[in-house]
Amino acid sequence: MRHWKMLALSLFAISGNAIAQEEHPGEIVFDTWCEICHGEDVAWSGGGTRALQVKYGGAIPAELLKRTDLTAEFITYYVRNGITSMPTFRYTEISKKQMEDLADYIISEANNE
Amino acid sequence: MPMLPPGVSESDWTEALNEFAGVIGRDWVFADDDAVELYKDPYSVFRDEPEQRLVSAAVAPYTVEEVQGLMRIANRYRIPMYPISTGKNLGHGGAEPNLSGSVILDLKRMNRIVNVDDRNHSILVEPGVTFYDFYDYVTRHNLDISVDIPDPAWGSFIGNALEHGLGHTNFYGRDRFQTCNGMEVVLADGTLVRTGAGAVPKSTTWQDHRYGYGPHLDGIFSQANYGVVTKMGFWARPAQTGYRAARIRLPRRDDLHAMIDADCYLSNAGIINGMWDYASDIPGTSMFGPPATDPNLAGMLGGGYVKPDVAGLEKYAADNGHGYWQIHVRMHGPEKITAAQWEFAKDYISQKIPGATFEEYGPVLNFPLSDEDFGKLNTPPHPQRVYLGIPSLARFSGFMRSEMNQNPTDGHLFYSPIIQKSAEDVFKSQEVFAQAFEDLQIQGPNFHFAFPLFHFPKAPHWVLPLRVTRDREVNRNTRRAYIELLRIAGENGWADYRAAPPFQDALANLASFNDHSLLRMSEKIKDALDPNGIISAGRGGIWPQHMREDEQV
Repeated sequence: MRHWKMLALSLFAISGNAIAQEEHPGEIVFDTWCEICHGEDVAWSGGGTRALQVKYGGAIPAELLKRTDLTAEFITYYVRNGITSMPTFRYTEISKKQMEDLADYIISEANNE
Repeated sequence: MPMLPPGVSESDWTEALNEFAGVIGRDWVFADDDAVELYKDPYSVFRDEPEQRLVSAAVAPYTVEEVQGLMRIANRYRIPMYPISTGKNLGHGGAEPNLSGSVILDLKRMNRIVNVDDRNHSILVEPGVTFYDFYDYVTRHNLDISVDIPDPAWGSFIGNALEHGLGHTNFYGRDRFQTCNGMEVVLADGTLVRTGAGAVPKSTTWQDHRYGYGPHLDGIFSQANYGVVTKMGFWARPAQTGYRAARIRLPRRDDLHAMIDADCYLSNAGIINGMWDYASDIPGTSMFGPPATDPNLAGMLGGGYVKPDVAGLEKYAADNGHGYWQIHVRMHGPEKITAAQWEFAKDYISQKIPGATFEEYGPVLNFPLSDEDFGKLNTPPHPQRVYLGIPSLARFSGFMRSEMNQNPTDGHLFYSPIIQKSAEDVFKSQEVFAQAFEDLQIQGPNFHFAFPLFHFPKAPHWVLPLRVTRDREVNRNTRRAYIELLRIAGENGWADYRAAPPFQDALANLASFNDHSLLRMSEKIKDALDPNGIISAGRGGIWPQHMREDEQV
């Protein structure tokens, strides 16, 4: 729910709350570009999540942030090459550094669950 | 190593890249294969074929001064430039240029929301601003303003407007370019121009008074190649106050005549101010729903060359509590106002169409939405977010793998002809496309029950996605079909409202009145404003003088 997350982040930023400072830099990238399709709530933002649910039939988690099998190379490949309706993402959208942060965030989130 | 721009020597190219870097920094000049590949259309119907449009480099300025600097260099070396806002023009070409070897002028980094006036309701934005960006900004600052948005909402305001894109909400706002109010444009030689009232220094009405004094030129910068739009103003509306949805069921096929006439009246009078959607109410007619399970019903539906059994279906509908058609109506405004809108519409339509039935569905929403209402959006019978101006990719995800779509394509090419807003043209286009899709052996809906979309205020447009895959034969067939569909539509006086670059010449050539006088005039403007032909050669079917004979269809 990016809408509410953005509100929360802005409040943290205003108050200088330490939680905002601890945010993983890849989380901002995920919230901007990935969560709108690979989110938790399929009705809201889960076209990608639903697609992976149908593709794998529940054999592995449909939500990217719950996948423990992903590598940075794998994530980068799909961001830069796309698949089916998922388009490619350019360096002006996700820079090389942001790509590294994003992959690190997805992998660390899944493994921290 | 990416290809050289056409007509540019290797030494000039090296010099130009260095000069580009001098303006924007080396980090924002992309000239290696990895980066340049990302500007290919991900839904290209020429994927991995020699005709696929390629890119020589991309440059990403951050300020309008940098855009001016880049254009001066390009003009000196005669390097073809292809500006994009965010390049999310999926199904219509993405970031792909018309001319292979163009340099993409990627304006994504220019993403400033320059001004938001939530008193008189207008905005001024740069090309990199997306609908998500704007919604987040308005929400964070608690501003009393809203705009129509498309789904997918990750694209650019300006890109959407310049491609004549559409939203889903209000009659006066869904047609994005209709809300355009003032531009800032960099010409091919780097000259900076402001249109409308913005041409007057110290003007306080740039986004309020559309015309200024003199010719109103904003339109020539859409679907064309006369300049690089670096800022654009739009009229907006106050924040949403309320929402009501209802459906009308019609018993007979021919009731559609009176229904669309009533839609024209109620919309043009400002009585119903939201989106209308037309469909059949008979089971098995929606391409997004399950097929008919009753063999008797399935036999009456027809499809392709086979026409439906209208009398049988009207009886089936009456016997089973269905309408032959169902029309969804959406209303925006305070609860008392939408109640009055709906009451008037019911009375009006009842007088025109005996037997029409009316039903409200889903909650009547009042803004600001409760957390509970907000969380239920996109879940029927609650409205889709996009109907309320809230960004989403829910409709976009209809192309993705799902229970109903087990084998998704690798993209699509939109065929989207405009027709007249009348039942005569709806029925005629259903017949024409039913025949054409069958003749061309391409997948489509059961056209006898399919409808165009009513986004444009006065002219519906069909949205028919043609398959794009990694199979060259499938893509070749899609290309052949698209060109043939353009021809067939043209014979009936219909033309697409936009097209992907490989097909823009063919679409522009449908405008053949008086020996293509419109295109010839467009070419004269091109020659005057961009004599070296460096901006988006071929866009809108307009080629610079030195490329005309070779490139034009």
